[in-house]
Amino acid sequence: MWVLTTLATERTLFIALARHTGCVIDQIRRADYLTKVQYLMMVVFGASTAALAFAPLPQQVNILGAGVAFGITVGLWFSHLLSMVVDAATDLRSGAAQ
Amino acid sequence: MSGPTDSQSDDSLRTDGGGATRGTRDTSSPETEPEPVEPDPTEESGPNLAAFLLTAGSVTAVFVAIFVFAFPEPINQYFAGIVLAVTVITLIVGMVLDLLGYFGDEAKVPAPDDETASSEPTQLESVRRRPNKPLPKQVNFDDEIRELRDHFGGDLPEQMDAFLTEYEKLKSSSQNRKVVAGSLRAALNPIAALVTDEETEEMVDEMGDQLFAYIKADPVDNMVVTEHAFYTDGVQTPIADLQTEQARIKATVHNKGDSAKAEVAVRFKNEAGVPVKTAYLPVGEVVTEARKELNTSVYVPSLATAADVFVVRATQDTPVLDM
Repeated sequence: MWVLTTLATERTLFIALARHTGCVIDQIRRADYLTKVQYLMMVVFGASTAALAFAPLPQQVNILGAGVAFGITVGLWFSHLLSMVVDAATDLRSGAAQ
Repeated sequence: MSGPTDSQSDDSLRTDGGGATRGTRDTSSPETEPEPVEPDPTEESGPNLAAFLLTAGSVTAVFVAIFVFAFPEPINQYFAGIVLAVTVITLIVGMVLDLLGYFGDEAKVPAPDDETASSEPTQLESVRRRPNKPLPKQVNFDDEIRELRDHFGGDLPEQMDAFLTEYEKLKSSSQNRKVVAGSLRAALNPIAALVTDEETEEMVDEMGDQLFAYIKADPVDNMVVTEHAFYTDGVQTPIADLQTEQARIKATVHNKGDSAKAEVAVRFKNEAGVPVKTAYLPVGEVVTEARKELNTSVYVPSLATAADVFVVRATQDTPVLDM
């Protein structure tokens, strides 16, 4: 019985995951040009973080490289979050002014 | 660290929808028979809190895993700690965005002076990403009244009482709004005689013009299709590649005026820009300042390479399944 319950739960989780992944992809596709560039840069620097962390280089270089790439990724992410907050606040203000 | 995007739409998707007139309805072919509007359970077109959290969580897990496996202790712990700190900040910002109504669940965030919030939940359900304002922007004179109050030194003159009474009527009920707007316009005349400076006089004249335009306008004139796109198998596809196929159309209708029933007309055109067929897709009632999403299938005729998508008035005989 618990096997069936576990399977059902996993199936539900999988469906939810697939739906939300589709949702994220759909939204990225519909985003404006600047947002797409931001995402692209985040993906590039995020991938660089992973690549530099596992690269066959001296360990100090690995740590330094991964740290720098990760810092840039986080910076991009925070700037994106900030622009989202500004957009939301602007929308709310323009809505309240109506 | 990528997350769900904001809802700004691609300019290439924008169309003008207002003020379009209905063409001859083509009902000769069953292929163009409009399908009832289907609700979109995944809310694909707007930012979504669940997707935001899911993305933030997944990215956190990936980065923590990378750092744990790549670096020896205690370096990996420092990196993992930084990742978790970023996640916590992200979650806090996510909550702030949710409170600001960014994630499209307006029912959680009623506007401060939204009198209909508790009495009309069905309207709120269909309003997403924007505060629900019962009064169309065109005839919302809150700012103007404030300016007039300043102009008269803090106290509004008695001659404005009729105007204020009519304005309250207009705000509190959506019944017979055009009649009330007519009375409101008449009540504006004594104010025009009272104001002394040119700027305020212009403002009062403009209020009169806006009321006149509102009284004369057809409800669907204030509705626009803010964005639209055609899809096949979930992938956005140009119309030219969808000829003789059943495609999926997703469109957003924004009502800047009074609540009204509407249909979205999709006029397919050939390379020369000549209309080849028009399909009418009902969207049902769209309340004031609401954005309603249409997500349905439509047959794309052969020769069609482009399409105009605009809003037309709903006919009585159109079956409508409200979203």
